[in-house]
Amino acid sequence: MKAPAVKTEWEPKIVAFLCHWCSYAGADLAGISRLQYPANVRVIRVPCTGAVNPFYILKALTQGADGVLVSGCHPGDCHYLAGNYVARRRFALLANLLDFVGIEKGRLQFSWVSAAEGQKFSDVMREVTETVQALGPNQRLVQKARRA
Amino acid sequence: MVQEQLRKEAARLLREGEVDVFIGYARGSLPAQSTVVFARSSEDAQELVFDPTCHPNLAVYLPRFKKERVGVVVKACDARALVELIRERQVDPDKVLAIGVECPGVIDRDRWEEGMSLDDGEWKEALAVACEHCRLPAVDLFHCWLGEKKVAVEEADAQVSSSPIDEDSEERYRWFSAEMEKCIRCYACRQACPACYCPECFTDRSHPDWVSPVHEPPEAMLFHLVRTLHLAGRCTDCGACARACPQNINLLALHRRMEAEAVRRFGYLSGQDPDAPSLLGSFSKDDSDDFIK
Repeated sequence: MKAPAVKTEWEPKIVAFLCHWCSYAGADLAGISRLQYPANVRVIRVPCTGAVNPFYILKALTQGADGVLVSGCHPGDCHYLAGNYVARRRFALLANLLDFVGIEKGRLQFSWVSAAEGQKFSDVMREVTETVQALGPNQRLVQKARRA
Repeated sequence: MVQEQLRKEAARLLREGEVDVFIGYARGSLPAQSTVVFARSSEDAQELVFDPTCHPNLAVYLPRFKKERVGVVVKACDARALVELIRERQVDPDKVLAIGVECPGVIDRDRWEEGMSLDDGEWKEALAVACEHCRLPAVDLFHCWLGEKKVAVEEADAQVSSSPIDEDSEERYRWFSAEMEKCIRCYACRQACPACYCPECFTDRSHPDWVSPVHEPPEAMLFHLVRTLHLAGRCTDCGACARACPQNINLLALHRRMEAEAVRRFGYLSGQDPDAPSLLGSFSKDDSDDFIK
């Protein structure tokens, strides 16, 4: 009798919140330019990084995401003028709080990627995936039933 | 004596119609326990007491009296919370008469032992953690001040000694999950908090149910992390949440971490100035990018 199929090697699941005006367009450019990057990233398009409630990030982590990336326009380039400045303050506190309660630093990452930075987008995706891969499955914040 | 002055002034305000209701403390039914009283007549005002058992934050009641003139007795921590409520337009400063009282610090019932006396310094053994780090708002907020105008408790370090700040990430997580496993999600922290005035809390929403009722530490973590972030730059470190907690969760460690980070990163301290912009509603173009790729 054949042994049951063994689980294939673990691959991280990464949720990326990309701002519609910059990073999402940067992802488009990366695609059009045929740049390769790991396929572990699930993209969620948002109007602006300022529209990303820290709750979404924490919810993703409790529901089984191994890492979360938030990416938006460079400071000064926000389509809504100040959304990313407001987001920056909010995420500085979120990152500090998660670090304080012992969530590994690489689980939550932020980047500024403009619509012209297809190469940077692909580099960031690779970097984030490698960091999360090295950290292993998310165990600390995720519900038991959903653990890898 | 502060208590006598307080009764006299509250009775006068009620009798002369300067306020419709006066919020203060009265003797509770258990030893070393006080209760909140809403006095509507000068006779009611004779029940008022003030001593180290008066630990609930009275500012929490103010947004519920939008149409009436309210007198309220405020300690330094209540006064900071009042500043925040005025700043967030939850309280009309023209309708509130705040009577400041000199506060020697309050007791934490969990540290209180039977037989302790309130008269000598013995009760200081049960001093609440939040009182180690007291400060008066810099604004002219008070209708009058009873006692000497100073904070009796020495200013102390913003860090809580029982939080494992210097440990590594794994150790910090162990501490955090042990705290969160205690949580029964009774939401007493939220009810006791003057900054938690939302008519509907995100935890109470059922469509979508942001926080599941499943009894699992990640759900408690989600609640406390989000609540801590909601309070960032608004928490005035009164410690009412930690004293209300039946499970003795070290909530102050989370809130003080945010306070310390707001001071370090943005030079922002809450509860000082009702005209200041909010921490998360404002920004500077020079805020640091050090955590962003």
